[in-house]
Amino acid sequence: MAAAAAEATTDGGGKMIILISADGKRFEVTEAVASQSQLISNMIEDDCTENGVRLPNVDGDILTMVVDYCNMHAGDAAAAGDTMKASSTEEELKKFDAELVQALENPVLFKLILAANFLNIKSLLDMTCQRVADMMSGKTPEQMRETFSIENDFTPEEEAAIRQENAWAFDD
Amino acid sequence: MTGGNVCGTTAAAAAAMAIPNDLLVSEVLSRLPVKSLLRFSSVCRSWRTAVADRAFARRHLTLSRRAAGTTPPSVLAVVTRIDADPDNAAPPEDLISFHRIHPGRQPSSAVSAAAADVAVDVEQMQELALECSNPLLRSSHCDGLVAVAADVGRIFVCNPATREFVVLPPGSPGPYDHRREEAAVLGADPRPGVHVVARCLYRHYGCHANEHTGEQSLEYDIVHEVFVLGPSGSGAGRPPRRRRAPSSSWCRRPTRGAPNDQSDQAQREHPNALLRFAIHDGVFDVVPLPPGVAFMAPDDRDALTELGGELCYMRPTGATAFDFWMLPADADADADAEHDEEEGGHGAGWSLRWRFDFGGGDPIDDLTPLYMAPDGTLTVYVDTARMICRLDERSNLLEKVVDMAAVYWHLVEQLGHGNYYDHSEKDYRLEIQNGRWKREAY
Repeated sequence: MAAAAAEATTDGGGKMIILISADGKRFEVTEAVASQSQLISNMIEDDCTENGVRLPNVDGDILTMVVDYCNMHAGDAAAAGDTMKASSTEEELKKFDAELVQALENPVLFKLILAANFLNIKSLLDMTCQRVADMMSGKTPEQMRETFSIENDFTPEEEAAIRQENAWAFDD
Repeated sequence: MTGGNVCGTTAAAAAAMAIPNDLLVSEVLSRLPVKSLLRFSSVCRSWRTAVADRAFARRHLTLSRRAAGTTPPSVLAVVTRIDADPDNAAPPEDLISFHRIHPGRQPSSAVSAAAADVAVDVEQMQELALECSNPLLRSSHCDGLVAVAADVGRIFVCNPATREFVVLPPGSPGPYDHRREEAAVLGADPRPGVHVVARCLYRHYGCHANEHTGEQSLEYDIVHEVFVLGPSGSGAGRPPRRRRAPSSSWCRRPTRGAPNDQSDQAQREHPNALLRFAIHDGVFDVVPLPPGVAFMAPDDRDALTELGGELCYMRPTGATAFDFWMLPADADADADAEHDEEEGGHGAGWSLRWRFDFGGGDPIDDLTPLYMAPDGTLTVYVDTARMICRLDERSNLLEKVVDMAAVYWHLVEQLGHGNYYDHSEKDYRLEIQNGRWKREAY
């Protein structure tokens, strides 16, 4: 694609970076926003973002969420000079985060986790994994196997013994 | 779970979005409460192995501690009572139970007219039958483990979140068993996954006459016995193996003299100071009291607590007024002690963090500092009012966090009336703990 476009700069002088999703969607973000991803931050340091950053295992719809998240949280990471952005209050951020993960169906949430893990955005990974943990905590082992497509490799006797060992944990 | 109607599609979608097992274990399972983890041990072999792993336990503890720093702590209530058979057919049984109280979730109308069925958020975690002659227990906690000194020479460590229970080997008997309550304190060792219990007992306790002046003073030897709970020993610090035999190793370290409970005469001779035992290197050092503070003066309502790694010395300044002094962990205690001895200087490093007068008519006999939040608020338990309150550092605003009277009546309702130790003021004991319980850390 047009490599020159990736060299665009903003009025504020921050260098812009183009992120390209698996299905070819392009996202233009500032370095400050993008470098919340440790992966991209390393690439910026190594000076290999000029032709855009291809993310072959992140879909466009997922990358949209990731970019929204990073834009919102750029203030955290001390985006110098951008006073308007930095003014997102802690409360607004909390609300934004809650709304982001609250409505997601599991498959989308899991994809978001994979993207956060691949891009190495720790705060997003923490938040999404906490959300999954919160949903899991009251579930039964059967529901866990179903949700995560896990095969039960215990013999019925073994499983009964483990349940017996922690019988109280199966109450209520 | 939502899924397509066609089986093939669902399976393909599931495979495509599956979270790799290592990510699931390290990032998701490690954020689960203990009870869920124990249940999910039966999901598959790899999960069972993962949950039992020591590295996993450490990561779980780290995440629990981090989460505890950002959320209001819950409170652990330790209740002891005697369960007597109404027909006297069986001997009465001493019971101890652990209850988790969630302050944030308590309805504000807790002390309303419908007090009989107040919805206090109290969760019973564990109940144990104890063989002990003294229902007044001392308990101490760290990282979700609780050490209970039940009776002389009988110390238990349990993890109410996993219901693990370990009896420490009997220590040496003290010569003043019948007069002194058993005291033991639990702490984290710097080595990962290792906890220690320091038991304190008197080896010698008696009067000492000064050769020159003939003045009499109290002199005693205190011995600390240190029990180590860790990788080579019991399962108390890790996910449970119910049948693992507890085999804690332990050693003794004697020390001489402890000028922390002196008569007036002795005070003139010795500096008024605290003796501190450091778990990480097993060394005792002398810590001066805060400036201008004398031990048990004007009365004996002083309290010494550790809050978030800092030493807290609470000193009464009136019937309902208290000062709270804090000594940060990094204050150089050795230098302070030397300084103290050489120049008579007193209490370097201490800062007066909170001063509060609760006011009201009744004097406060018993006040226990529980928890210091990162935002600078202090949570205390006021025994007289049966109330857990929060003090704001700046404005000293008072907020009532938990009404323990409501909790008590809730427990009486749950556990049954009339089974308590006796009908006097001491008919039960609620030991309030500074709780880092959000994730049921173990």
